[in-house]
Amino acid sequence: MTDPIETAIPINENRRNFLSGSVGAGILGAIMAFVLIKITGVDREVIEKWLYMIIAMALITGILGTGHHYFWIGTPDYWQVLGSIFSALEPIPFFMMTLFAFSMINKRRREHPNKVAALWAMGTGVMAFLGAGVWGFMHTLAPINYYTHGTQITAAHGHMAFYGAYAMIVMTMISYAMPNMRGRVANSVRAQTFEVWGFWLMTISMVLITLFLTSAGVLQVWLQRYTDTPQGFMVVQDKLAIFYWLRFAAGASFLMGVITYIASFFIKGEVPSIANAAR
Amino acid sequence: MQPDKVVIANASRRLPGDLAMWLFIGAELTAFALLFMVYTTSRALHPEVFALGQSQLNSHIGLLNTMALLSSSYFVVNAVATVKAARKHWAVTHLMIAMLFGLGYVALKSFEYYQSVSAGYGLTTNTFYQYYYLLTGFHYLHVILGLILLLLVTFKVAANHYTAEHINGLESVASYWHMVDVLWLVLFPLVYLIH
Repeated sequence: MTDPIETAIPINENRRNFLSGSVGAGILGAIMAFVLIKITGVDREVIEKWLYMIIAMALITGILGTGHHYFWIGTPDYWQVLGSIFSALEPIPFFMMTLFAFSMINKRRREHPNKVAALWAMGTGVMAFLGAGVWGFMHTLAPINYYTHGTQITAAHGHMAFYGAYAMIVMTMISYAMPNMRGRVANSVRAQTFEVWGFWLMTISMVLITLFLTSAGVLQVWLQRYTDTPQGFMVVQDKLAIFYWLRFAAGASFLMGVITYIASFFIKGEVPSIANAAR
Repeated sequence: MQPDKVVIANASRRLPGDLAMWLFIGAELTAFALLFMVYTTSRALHPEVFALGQSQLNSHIGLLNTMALLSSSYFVVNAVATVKAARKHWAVTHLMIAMLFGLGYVALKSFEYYQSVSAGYGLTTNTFYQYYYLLTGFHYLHVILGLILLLLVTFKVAANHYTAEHINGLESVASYWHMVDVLWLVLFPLVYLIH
């Protein structure tokens, strides 16, 4: 059965995704630069040069890349060209961000005892690149987006991009700032071990959530959009149920990660100092 | 050991201008490469629309513009060389001539746009005009940005800001200006000449 409303392209995705990659990359880059200066001791000049190039690239690609929100809302055709071309280049600043985090940490001039903050910084780079860059590119070209717009493909991209580009940068900042605010250079080794567990539980769960939603999205597009005999929205939703259950299980394990992470705030132990933390 | 040769090898490998500028140029060239590909694909899909549109363009003005940009780049090369040879006064003159040629391009291109728009052709007229305005319009904006940058470095040259050893800023702007030139050398045959 064809659902006539659903077979028309929904127009509400634009409202949901008003925060585009460019905004993300700019703010993300600035916060990342701050934390990297603090934990690596690399010269501010070097860090700023990187930041400058990342933000320049985010602006060049992002301003017109935002055109990918204008594809199907009654705007003239040229937005499909502009939005496709410029948003296809948006992974570049995210890739630079990953290189930035890893190369600054490799070039570090001090062994900061807050190891887990460095882990969060590197994780942010990788997950933002995968979620915003790769998963965004996957469906940003107008001829592809015509079929995938507002499906579970969008949900998959949204989950990983927001975790990578927003949640993780916030946790990077918390990881660096919380011990400082509590009057110590870093949390105890035991607390950091818990936090590392929280990091991996959340991050691996988020990868799984993304993969399950992507699978659901591919099937949804196949049954509902890219076919001569499109099926109705609710009919297709029923057929995606297995992926939603798997996604739910991954969500439960993500929650375990959140609990482990929050628990790490309450774990005591000997506070490391710069001196005894040096290798 | 041949120390002289080592020095020469290093000198030839030196990047003219700032690394950030080259990164920027790389991004610009990528964006234009994508635009050219989309244009070519669209042309293959709509041959009649493009043939009709292209026949309405004035390739004489296009040729004049090509000459203007090439001459402009020539004078920018001269300007960099004269700063390296510590002849500041000539560098300012060369830069001003380069900007005049650039302004000539802007004037001719504006006249062309005026003609097309008066004839009733706009961004949404058809597929050809959509790409014509997008491609040439982007390039036009790049020429204007290049002119602003050239003006800034002209003031700096006049204020003795650059020497043969410290010429990074001037070289960056020169590299950008040559990129604008090279893009037009692809754009002109692609849009005006290949029928």
